[in-house]
Parts: sequence; C-alpha cells; structure tokens
Amino acid sequence: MKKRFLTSVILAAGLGLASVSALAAQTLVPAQSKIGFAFKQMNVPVEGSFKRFDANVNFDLAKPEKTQATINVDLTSIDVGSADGNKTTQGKDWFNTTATPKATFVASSVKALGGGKFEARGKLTIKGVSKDIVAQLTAKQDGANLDVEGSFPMMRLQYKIGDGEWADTGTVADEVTVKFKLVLAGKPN
Amino acid sequence: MKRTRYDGFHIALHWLIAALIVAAFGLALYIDTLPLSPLKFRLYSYHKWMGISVLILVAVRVIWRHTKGVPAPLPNQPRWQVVVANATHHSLYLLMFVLPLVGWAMSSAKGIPVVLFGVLPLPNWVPVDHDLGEILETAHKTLAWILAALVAMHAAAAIKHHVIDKDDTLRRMLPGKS
Repeated sequence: MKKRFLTSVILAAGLGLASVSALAAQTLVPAQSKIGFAFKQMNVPVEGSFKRFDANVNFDLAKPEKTQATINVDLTSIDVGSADGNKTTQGKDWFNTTATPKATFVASSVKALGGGKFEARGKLTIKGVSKDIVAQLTAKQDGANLDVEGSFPMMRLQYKIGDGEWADTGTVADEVTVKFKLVLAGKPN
Repeated sequence: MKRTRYDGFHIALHWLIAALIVAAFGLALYIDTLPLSPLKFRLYSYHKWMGISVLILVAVRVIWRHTKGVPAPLPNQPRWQVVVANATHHSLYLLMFVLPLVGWAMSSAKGIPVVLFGVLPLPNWVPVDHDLGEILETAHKTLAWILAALVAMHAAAAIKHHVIDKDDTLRRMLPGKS
C-alpha cells in the first residue's frame, strides 16, 4: 500500500504536464470555474481572483487515489479590484509576471474523507518556489459535470509574494486563503 | 437667562470634528500623491476611521444640540448674513453626514470594507461593483471639495466677526468662562 502510494507520487511528479494532459479525460469548463484568493489588509478582508487558468485533471470519485491533476494559473490575469492594484501585483515585488507568468499546482495524492469530502496534497510552485500544500475540497457530480470546490491556506512570504516594503505583514497579512471551483466535463479514465 | 455661549460639550465636539475634517481632507490629498504601497493602505484606513468618527460625532452633536439648544445669532446682524450663516450651517451638518456615508459606500463598492480602528468591521450596504465604486469616488471627491469650500467660508466669516466686527461670534464657540 505504502509502496503503491509512493509509486503514484513519483509517477504524478515525474510524468509532468504533457503526459498528464494526455491522460486527462476531463476538460475544464472555464466559464463556470473560479480561482480566487482572500486575505487581510489592515485587518480588512479583501478578495481577488485570476481570470485565466487551465487544468488537466483526471479525477474519478470512485478512485480518488488515482487522481492526477495539474493546474496552471495565468498570473497576469490577476484581478484585485483596481487597475493600479493589478499592475502592482504583477510587478517585481509581487508575482513578477515577466519572469514567472504562471503558478502551477501538481497534485500528488487525493484521499477520500467521506461524505463527498476529499483532501488533496501536492506541490504549488510560484516564483520558482515549490511548497507542499494541503487542500480540503468537496466533489459532486452535477449532471454530466463534476464540481470540485475547495480551498487551502498558504503563506505568501514563503513564495516571496509581496517582497520588499510589502513584506510588512502589519499591512498585508502573510496568510492567504486560495479558493477554487473547478467544473470538469467528461468522464475520467 | 438668555444663553450667549455654546456649552462646553458642544464646543469640544465642534473643534474635535473640525480637526478630524481638516486632517482627513489633508490626508486624502496626500494619499492621492502616493504610489500603491503599504503606507498608502495604512493611510487609507486612517482616513476611513477619521470619516466614520466624524459621522458618529456629528450624530452625537445633533442629538446634543436638540437636547441642550444653541444660542441665537447675535442681535443686530444684517438679515442676509443671518440667512447665509444659517444655510452654511445646515449644509455643513448635511455634508458631515453625507460625505462619510458616501465614503463608506465607496469602500464597500470597491471591495475594501471599513474595519473601524482595525477591530470593528462595518457592514457593507452596497454591493461590490466596479462602476458603482467609480461613481461613488467621484461623488465623494466632489462633496469633499464642496465641504472644504463651506468650511473655508465658515472660518472666514468667524474670523471676520472676530477681527473686523470685533463681536462675540467666534468667542462663544471658544473654550472659556461664560
């Protein structure tokens, strides 16, 4: 069991984007999917989102342990509510989108928790920094689509998001909650 | 006995509100010159706290003046001056309510709600909406300049009474013995 788990981790990590996409049988429905984030600034809760992202997912509710998922987020599509803010967050101190235009999440394991709940683990890479994250999610069949909705906490400074003067967490908090809703069409393999 | 002076609490409220209005206005002008930065976020918050403080204090002041009353204008003033002063005072009171309320709504519309003094989240009473946010921003700025003009008029009139007419108009709003 443990060996199989390891094998699947190595497989998921090793296969990379191209092969994952070849294996994926489900396709993302972008119009119904969302990737957003919430954080506190001067203790004020604020939210933002990314308008463009793609996902190569093979997620079978009956076989969650076989899940493969790679999600790429176009960081230039950030929307924090103002043109000024969008420009600033693409700058060097934040996502530095000219050097690193994408954030990538590659799932390493998905575990069923019962009652339609799952726990996904994997590597999140932003600005060349990779960290393991754990996301809680729910998945339910909605007609022909599979709705996957969840969130995970991350510390922005681990990825140097908001460096320099912005590293002051008294103004913009370190903790960010990433929220996602992925609507997948088609049947998993 | 006829009252000739404002009471101490009213005087305190008047000057506290005046200081907050001047500070919030000056701070807003300074914020507009800053690039997006942690300092800018911090000052925006301070500006919002000042505005909501004005809103609360002016509500207290209206209740107080209705309870305790205020002295009548000094006798023997030209009729037009009494009318203009009265209209200015009413406009000042109106704007002290409307300006913070529009600013509060603008914050809500822009998706950056007001958390008073960093601890008390105020409810959002308009939805997050980019276009509405822009409209409210224009309204907030326009009203702020109107308030600034009225405050300038109000202060100039008080100084004129004090320096040229040498009457008690300003003195009765200053701390001191009645």
